[in-house]
Amino acid sequence: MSITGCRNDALVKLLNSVGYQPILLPRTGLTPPELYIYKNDKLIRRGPLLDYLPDGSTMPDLNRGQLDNIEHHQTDKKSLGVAASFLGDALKCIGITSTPKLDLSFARDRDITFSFDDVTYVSIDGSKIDQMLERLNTGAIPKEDIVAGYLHIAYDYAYAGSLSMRIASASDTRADIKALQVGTYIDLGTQGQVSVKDDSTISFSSKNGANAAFACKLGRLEKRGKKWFFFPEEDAGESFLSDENQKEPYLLERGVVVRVEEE
Amino acid sequence: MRATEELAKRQREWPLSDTDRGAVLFSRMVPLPVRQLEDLRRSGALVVGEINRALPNAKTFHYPDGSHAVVLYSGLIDFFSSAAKILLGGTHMHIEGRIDKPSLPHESVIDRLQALFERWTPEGIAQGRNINESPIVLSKESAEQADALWQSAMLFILSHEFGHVTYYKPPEDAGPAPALTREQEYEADRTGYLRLIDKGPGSLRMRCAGGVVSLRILAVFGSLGHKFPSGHPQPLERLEALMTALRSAIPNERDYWKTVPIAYAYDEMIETAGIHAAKTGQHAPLTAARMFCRLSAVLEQCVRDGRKASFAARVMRFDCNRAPTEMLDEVAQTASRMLRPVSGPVLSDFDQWQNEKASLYRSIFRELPEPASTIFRTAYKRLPA
Repeated sequence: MSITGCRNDALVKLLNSVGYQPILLPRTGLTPPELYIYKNDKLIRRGPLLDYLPDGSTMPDLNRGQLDNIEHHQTDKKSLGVAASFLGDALKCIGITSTPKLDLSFARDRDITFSFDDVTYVSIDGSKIDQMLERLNTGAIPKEDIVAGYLHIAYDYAYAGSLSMRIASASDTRADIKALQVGTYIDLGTQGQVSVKDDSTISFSSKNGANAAFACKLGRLEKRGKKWFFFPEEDAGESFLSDENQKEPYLLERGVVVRVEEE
Repeated sequence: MRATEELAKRQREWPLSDTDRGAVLFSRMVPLPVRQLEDLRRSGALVVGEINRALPNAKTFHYPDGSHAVVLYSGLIDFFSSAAKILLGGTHMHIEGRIDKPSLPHESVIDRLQALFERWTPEGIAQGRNINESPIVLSKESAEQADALWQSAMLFILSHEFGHVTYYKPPEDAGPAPALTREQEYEADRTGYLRLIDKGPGSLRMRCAGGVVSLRILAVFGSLGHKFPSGHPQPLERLEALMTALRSAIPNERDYWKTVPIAYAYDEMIETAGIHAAKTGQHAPLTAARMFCRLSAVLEQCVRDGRKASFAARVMRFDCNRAPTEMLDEVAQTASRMLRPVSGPVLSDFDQWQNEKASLYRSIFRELPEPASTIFRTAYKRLPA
């Protein structure tokens, strides 16, 4: 299920263009590879891939780094109502899961945009997933979900250290946020902190640094014969024209943020 | 099933502003003539839909649960629809004794088709194609025929895609499914075309033209830079095979030539427009079939419009001057067999036109340039009545 107000948002499209599916995870502290079922537009997290391997299996080395090409890129301008809803969801991505107090009335009649900052990733190489799949035991996962090809593996998560909200009026791109007592409008409780960065930008971050991923790269998992195969690229189909012969990263659905449900 | 979910997803990703024309076309094919396909459709394992993408493409996806989705791109449907309107805009129609004159002169048909092709080159699409063409005023009947033509062209494509479902074998390793053999590709074309001719929309002539138009358009796309899978037979090879299949399916020669004139005429116009768009020449090559179809069509027009034979002779002069002697011989032989009076009683309007066409044909020999005049006259005299 996708969340509202984000379809074809500029930031969503940017993430898609580099192979990331924007997601809304209910939990922090997750790392790839993880097993998911994507069925009837619902993305259901089954858990770490390691849990589906024999006892004693070890996690291969993970890759970590900065995602400079995502940092500071802004969403489309959002209306007040959509911005409040988006902010509530986006705060979960930086680990603020308790219900915060969010009164954005001070931004009435102004354009609101968001961006993720301090963006990092953790990923695992496809070749290592291939090796893990040799010992995969799908356990209690329903057989019909396997046959239908609903199984997916998240092999790359993107995390944000903080979230920026930029407020500008149509006539003047700067709004005097500094003069505002932000704390009277926004209270993130014990999990997060809010600060004014400049005249038009408010920054949100987690106090304990435990972030949830805000986007991931996934691949399809298929059993052919007795063997498992991992497909991190789109199925090109049998094409009438071969103009589109460039392989594209697999996405659950372009243009949307997918809400993750826990099993 | 996965196919339904995936099609719905793609339609959300590339939303349509209007009706799903792919689904409408599919519903018109129901029940599907092949048991396996009909069983798949009934169980929801075969779905067809349109997505709003500009490329003139169609794709078939196969899913692990045994379901299949055929996805038709709006670019392909839009192209066929625009081309059909232009072609019908230049077509002389006879409706219940009334003459519906073409709204576009012949040159304008070629120019507009050329402009259409130029907008749909890979570069044109990449730069954002301009689909705001100047409107073509069509009578109700011509508009209906234009709809029948683009729908026939799309149904041919769709029927071919069903071949990819029929012959599909699930892969056993990480690679894609085994590609269809060339023979299977041709067979998918052949059965799809014969199915279209049997059950498609509009008149028999228009259904016959639909398959030819679709492959000729793809052939022009190829000449303008679009790429077709290398394992596939290329559109021109497929077009030749299609005409051979049609010839076999209509064993009676007179029925065959009654059925194909529109197909040949549109084929030639589209090829000429493609040559103009590719800037590689002026005219599509003349063939005996094209020349005979033109002769037959112009004689029919003279009969129906009450024109004199000199009009037909004037139209045929250009072909007569450029056709080599062997081609003139071939056309003359075909014409001698096909443009004879009906033997026996006149049972239908068509028999009546046939007799009048035969009479007109005999009277144009003297108005044709040499050597065509002598070749046509001699061939006619040699063949016993």
